[in-house]
Amino acid sequence: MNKVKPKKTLHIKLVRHLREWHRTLGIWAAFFLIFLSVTGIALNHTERLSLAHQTITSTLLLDHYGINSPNDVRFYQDNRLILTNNLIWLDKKLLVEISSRFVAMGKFKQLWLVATDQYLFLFNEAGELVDKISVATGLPSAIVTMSVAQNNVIIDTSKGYYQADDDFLTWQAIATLKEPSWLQPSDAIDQQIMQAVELYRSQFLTWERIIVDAHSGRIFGLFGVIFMDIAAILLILLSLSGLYIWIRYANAKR
Amino acid sequence: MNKIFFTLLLFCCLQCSALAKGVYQTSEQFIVHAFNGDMPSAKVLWLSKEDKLLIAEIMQHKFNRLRLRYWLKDNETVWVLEEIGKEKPITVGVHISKNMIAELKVLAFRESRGDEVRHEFFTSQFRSASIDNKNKLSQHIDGITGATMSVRALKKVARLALWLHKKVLISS
Repeated sequence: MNKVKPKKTLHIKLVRHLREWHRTLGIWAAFFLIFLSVTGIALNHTERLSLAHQTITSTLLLDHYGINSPNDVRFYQDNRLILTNNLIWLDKKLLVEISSRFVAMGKFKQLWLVATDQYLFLFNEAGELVDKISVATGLPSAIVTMSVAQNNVIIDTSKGYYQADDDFLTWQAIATLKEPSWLQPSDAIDQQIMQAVELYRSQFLTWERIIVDAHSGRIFGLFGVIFMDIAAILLILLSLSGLYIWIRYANAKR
Repeated sequence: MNKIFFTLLLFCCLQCSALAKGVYQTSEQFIVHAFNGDMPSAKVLWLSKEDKLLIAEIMQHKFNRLRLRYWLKDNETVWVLEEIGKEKPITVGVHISKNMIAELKVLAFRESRGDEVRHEFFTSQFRSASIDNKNKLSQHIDGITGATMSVRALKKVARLALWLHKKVLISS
């Protein structure tokens, strides 16, 4: 009988300590569990919530992720068409990402035109891609610059000037008496440049990325990951201590 | 000695990858050849929302263009289409007659690998191919080891051209 008593007191002491631990740990764990549950639910419904399409505009977060400003920012057509590096925008809508050298852009009748040295992109008023004309589909190669007048579109290429028909299906080599007025970038105020820079940078950071990184702790780098790992270990300990207390309680009840 | 051997080997590898890229025929030459010396004026097929969804299903990626150009003569059509193999677009000319492919040719290949698809031994497999109700090719096309993506791209282009041809003939 004397041998059993110290064992019992040890168990009672352990359970008492565990209960205190469990309670304190539980309060802290509640914050993590709520945070992980909310971010987890959001990630489970990424498509429905269209998190991958919602861009981040916070300069703090963009700076934190090291997203650089574009080197080349140009405005055309009353500053409605914007070039930021290789991205072309109509107002705030992303029209296209170009992979060849940018030449010029402007408006012709109901169409927005974007010319690169290899392609001519046609967009309707709503910014939907109407056609992407390439050398393979009749576009003269190596475009140097473009002119958009009221009734015609002329491009300057390494082989001379070409004029498009109304539907941009054929290109006719031409000679002009008067030099066409080639499209030039327009001036923009600082605020417009800042907005264009923000538009460009925000393309590379979405809510999905932020939530994934917050969920894993990566948003704070290696420290965040280690912190989340420790939090996960504490949650495991919490579960184990809870189970132990419950088993002891169930045994005592019997 | 080893250094020279490896330099030569590296040079040969780089040459091979450079040789893979190229323009083999212009679209104009392909069209003229398909229509026996004639060059009909290009026509435009406007695509509805439903058409774009169906094309996206064939191409297995989003298709956002509103119109496609083609050349038509005596119920025969020619399509010059582009599809990305691995990273860069492959330009393919497809001549369709009697709802079957008369000729399919790689006009320009820009990838560094997989240009075997431009050879006659491969493209000849598409001859007389048509599509069924599910827009699948009627005949089996043998793949090429090391050019899987390019083969896949060409099969998609073939299916798309056949579907577009049907649509043009129905609407006209």
